[in-house]
Amino acid sequence: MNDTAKPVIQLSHISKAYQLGEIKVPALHDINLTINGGEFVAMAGPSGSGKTTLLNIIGALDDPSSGQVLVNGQDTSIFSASQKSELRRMQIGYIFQHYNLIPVLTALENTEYVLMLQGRDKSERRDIAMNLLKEVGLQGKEHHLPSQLSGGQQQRVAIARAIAPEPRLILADEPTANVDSHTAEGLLDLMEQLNQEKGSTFLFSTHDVTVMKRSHRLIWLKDGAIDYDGNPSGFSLP
Amino acid sequence: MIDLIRLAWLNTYRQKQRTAITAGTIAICTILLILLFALSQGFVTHSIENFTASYTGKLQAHGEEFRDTFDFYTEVENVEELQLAASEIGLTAAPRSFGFGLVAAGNKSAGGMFIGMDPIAEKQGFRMPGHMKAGEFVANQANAQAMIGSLLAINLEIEPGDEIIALVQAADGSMGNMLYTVAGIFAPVGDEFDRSTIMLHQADFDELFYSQGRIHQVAFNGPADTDLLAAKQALQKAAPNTEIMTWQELYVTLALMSEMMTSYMLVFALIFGLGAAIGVLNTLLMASYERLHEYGIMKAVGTTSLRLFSGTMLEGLMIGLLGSVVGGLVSLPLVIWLQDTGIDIRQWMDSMNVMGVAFDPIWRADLTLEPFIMVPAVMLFLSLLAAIYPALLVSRLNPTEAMREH
Repeated sequence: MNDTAKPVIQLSHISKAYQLGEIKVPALHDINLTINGGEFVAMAGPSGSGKTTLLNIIGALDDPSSGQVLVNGQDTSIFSASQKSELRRMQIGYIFQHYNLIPVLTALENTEYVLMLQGRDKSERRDIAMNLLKEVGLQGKEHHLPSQLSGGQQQRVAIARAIAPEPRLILADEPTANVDSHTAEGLLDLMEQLNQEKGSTFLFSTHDVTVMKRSHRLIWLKDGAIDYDGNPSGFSLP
Repeated sequence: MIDLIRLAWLNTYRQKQRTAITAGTIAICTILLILLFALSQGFVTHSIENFTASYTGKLQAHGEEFRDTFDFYTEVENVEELQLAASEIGLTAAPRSFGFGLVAAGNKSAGGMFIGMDPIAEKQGFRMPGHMKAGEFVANQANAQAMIGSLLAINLEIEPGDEIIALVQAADGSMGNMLYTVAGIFAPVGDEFDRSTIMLHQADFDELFYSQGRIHQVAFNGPADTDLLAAKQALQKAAPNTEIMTWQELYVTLALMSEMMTSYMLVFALIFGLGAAIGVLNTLLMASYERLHEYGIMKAVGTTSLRLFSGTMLEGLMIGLLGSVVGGLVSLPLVIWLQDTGIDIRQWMDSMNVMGVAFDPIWRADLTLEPFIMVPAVMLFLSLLAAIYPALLVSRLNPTEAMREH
């Protein structure tokens, strides 16, 4: 579905600092990074190293203090709020740490939600959502509300929602943080399968060593800067 | 648009507790406002109807300047023509005569106003015959019976069956005096009436005052929705030299007071409505704050600010519609009950007397379509108005900050 060789993410000299009263707290410092289509990348680092901030900047949920962000070749740092909304709606899939499903919608409706925002036909989006829920192993749970699903099941719905519009880029913020190791393995299998079958680019932040090892590329952040970028096998945890 | 409506409906339908609290607030405010309107409308309508139908009438005819002078010799001409014209436009005409004199019982005496009347006409057109505190209205045939105002009866220490002596100056200059049996004592009507009235059969009045059938007033009564201006013109045509006045012209201050009462109630309703709007705003705001996390997710996955604003407004509209319709439906049987049964204010006060006029002691609501359309429409409008701020708040959320809220 995508040109895998083309860069999906290009970051040039990205810095971010938060203003806390009169104090400026640096979060990211001069990040330069390119991620090509079809990559399966883990971003790790100690707490406060800037993983989530970087993920939010790439996903147009937050703005950098300086630098340029290109997503699918588009400079998002000059985007208006509505252009950012459109980018998130049309080109990026999100998987959040706390599942973040819409509580009043069923698994099926949550999966359909982004497709609905895209203005897809009702029967088309229903078919896509039903098939995806089946793929993620939630057949028979389509009409359950998030509160009626386990943590792992909710995360599977979140994955289905993220991949439903077939975005080039899927960002996942600690996708296995709130599930047990067995469920985490299952989720990773699922994401890897989607990466290989559909060519989706995955970038996820994680603390989980298993996830780091399963990734094809590891980026280690330390104090807001890239400390390591390469094959996970060549990295040893500090 | 259909998806937007469907999503708003899902949010409204599936969040039953939140919807129930907000719609319940709107419904309660709707019910209270409808009851307030119906009761205030009823108070004005029934009080005026009580006032006019008891004795005053909706219109009155007098000889020129009689109202200023109470001159015994200034009489209404063309009484028969007036009665005929009145019957043609659906009004009942009651001819009356007035004279002044003294009345005594035992060793008590007092000045009084004697009213001569036709019992049949009074019974046909007015409520006074049924407005008795004790005893009964005089018989249709003259029988030397009198009816007394409630305060005069207290002052003279008399009750039905007692005798009173009347002493007056007759129309020919002679002294007229008669002995009457008290047939009944009126329930309170108004200070002046209660303190001084002695009502007699027209024939007994004529005999006492030697009035030779002089009529000083013709009171006209009819349905509550009588077109007073048209009626006045018709009566004036029948008796061109007679002064015809509506009750509003006769009792200007009272008419003004009833209009002011309506205005006061409207102002009160407005204040109440604003209070209700603040309540609705508060519940909608609370509901929005509870859902910040959810709105954050929506925004993060690409929902536009406009869509979030529209969705929140739609939810406000749905909840407002639900609350105001439920409020309207619940208040209907309450208004019907208040119209039929009313609130008996005698348990709190003996009688309600405003500007010398005794009002109906049973406070009844007035069932009209107006509040059932106006109040829900206003509540719906207020709900939408109250939804604007939460909708703006939601649409301007920063998704990452909102998702941190739990």
